Amino acid sequence: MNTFKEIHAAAKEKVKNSGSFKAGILAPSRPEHFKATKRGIEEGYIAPIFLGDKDEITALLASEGLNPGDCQVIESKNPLDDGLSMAATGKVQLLMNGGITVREMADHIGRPNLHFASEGKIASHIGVMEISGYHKLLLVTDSVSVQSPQTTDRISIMENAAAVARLIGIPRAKAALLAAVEAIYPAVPVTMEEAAIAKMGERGQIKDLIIDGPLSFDCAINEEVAHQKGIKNSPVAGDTDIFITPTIETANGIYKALVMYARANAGGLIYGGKVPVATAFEVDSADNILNSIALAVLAAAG
Amino acid sequence: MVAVAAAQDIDVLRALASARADKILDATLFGDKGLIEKMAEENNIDIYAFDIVNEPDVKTATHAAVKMAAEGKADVIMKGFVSTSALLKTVLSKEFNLRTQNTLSHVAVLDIPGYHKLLSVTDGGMVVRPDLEQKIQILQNAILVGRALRLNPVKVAVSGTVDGFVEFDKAAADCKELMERIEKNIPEDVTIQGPLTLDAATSKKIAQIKGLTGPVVGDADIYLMHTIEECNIVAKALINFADAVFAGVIVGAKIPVSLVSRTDTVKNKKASVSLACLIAEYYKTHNQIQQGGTK
Repeated sequence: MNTFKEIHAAAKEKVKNSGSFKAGILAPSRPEHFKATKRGIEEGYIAPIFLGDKDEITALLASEGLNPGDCQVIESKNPLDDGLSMAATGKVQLLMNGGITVREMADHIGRPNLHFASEGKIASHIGVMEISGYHKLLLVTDSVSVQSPQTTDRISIMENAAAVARLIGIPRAKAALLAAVEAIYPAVPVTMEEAAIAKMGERGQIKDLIIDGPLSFDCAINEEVAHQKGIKNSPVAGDTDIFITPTIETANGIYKALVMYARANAGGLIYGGKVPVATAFEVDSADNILNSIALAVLAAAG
Repeated sequence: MVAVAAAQDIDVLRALASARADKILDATLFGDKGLIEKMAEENNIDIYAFDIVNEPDVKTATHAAVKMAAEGKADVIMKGFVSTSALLKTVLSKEFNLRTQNTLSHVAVLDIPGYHKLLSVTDGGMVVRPDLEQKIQILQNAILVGRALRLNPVKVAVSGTVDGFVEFDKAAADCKELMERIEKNIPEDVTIQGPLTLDAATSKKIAQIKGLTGPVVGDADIYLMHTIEECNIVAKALINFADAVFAGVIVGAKIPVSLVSRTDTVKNKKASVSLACLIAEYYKTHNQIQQGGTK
């Protein structure tokens, strides 16, 4: 799939068979949260269960044109914890962070005693972006989950991204491990780590991905630049599906930069846990949040 | 006056010719004279007003260009067909006494369509894993660039994935440490706030949604990032997909260095050397860099 239009078509196809998914909407606060939820109902994606201040949410439902009959509202003093325990017990099949910041949500999800991700794995964020300057969808990871990822975390993050790529019809995605430079320098530890991960990929130790790195951003998106900078025979340069960043600040910055200044049609989810979490950043429009819901539906449908 | 190290690069020549036509600079070209003249002629680039010093060997040309600046005959050094590391090694060599007490750092000034002012991001090109001391110096160098751009106040945002201090975020803790450290020494013309996400730092609307207030939110001039990767990659995303024009310079030495990459466009190369000239002008009029900082 190269566009969100296709992603939505695939999500609709899924719910045609499975029916809509029960979705926990946490502490919704912005009109965009309600607008996206309303459209999620109309598309047949979700049956929402709102968690938070019941009176406030009920009032907002009406003003945003939602039919209270379509929505369940549960009074919750702690929507984040309650939402996660509903996910753990199967009462919801996906979550949307709503008024809880994505970063806070991710931090809670990552706490080991919660066992939200399976043993030894992590749940991580994958942003999906459609922009006019690039010939395919651009997946960027990880914007919120693992602050200073170790090599094993980065591999886990890549596996999650590969799974999301499969969901959107890319069976063997091309993954670029991004750095400030494309050369491998002992003085720049990130480049050494990325070279090692790329080698693991080359040997088939990381499944379903074609991996290269370190690559600078311009080499990852432009094969000609890669050639000029002396990178020959890269299976990824110029045709990257997944952009893997060394820190959360980096992926976070790319997502915000492209939504705000490149008018990206975007969405994202936290993948790898008990249920997928459709993410709504403050920069995200209702359209973007609906995109996130469609991605979470594909993930929930498996 | 700009001293160009190994000027045999078509786009560097184009950028210089265009900047000279705009009366921004004059330049002395150190490099392979025959090759430079051939490039200019074949590509119709007007370099006839520039002095050319024939130094076909890249290393010798670089040395001569830096020497010219060290002797006070040039105000800016521009990178031509020489590697960044070789050029900076020459700039930093003891022989020339161009160092200050500050570390060298890279500042990229971005003109992003959709943002109401210039945004300088740092450091995406020089210091690999800055410690607290280095971050302070990177900040001081960026503030100098802000002043050269005649900003008053200079509004600085420190990057993060959260807005404001939270316990669970390491970058927020680093930011807090930085703020506490510089608290008493913040110059009057500088306002600093952080951590701030890129959206909160550059959009009042988003800041409002997040319930954030402060002098910097939605109006940052400088975005100070935690790692070289973060800064380099986010800047390149903006340059490649948001049509941002960018000017990269190395600051922290007594002479600003216009640092362009071979793959930069002529427009960006011109912006870089023009910015370096503006910084040099500021150094001259304020005599600030010799004191090696902004305190």
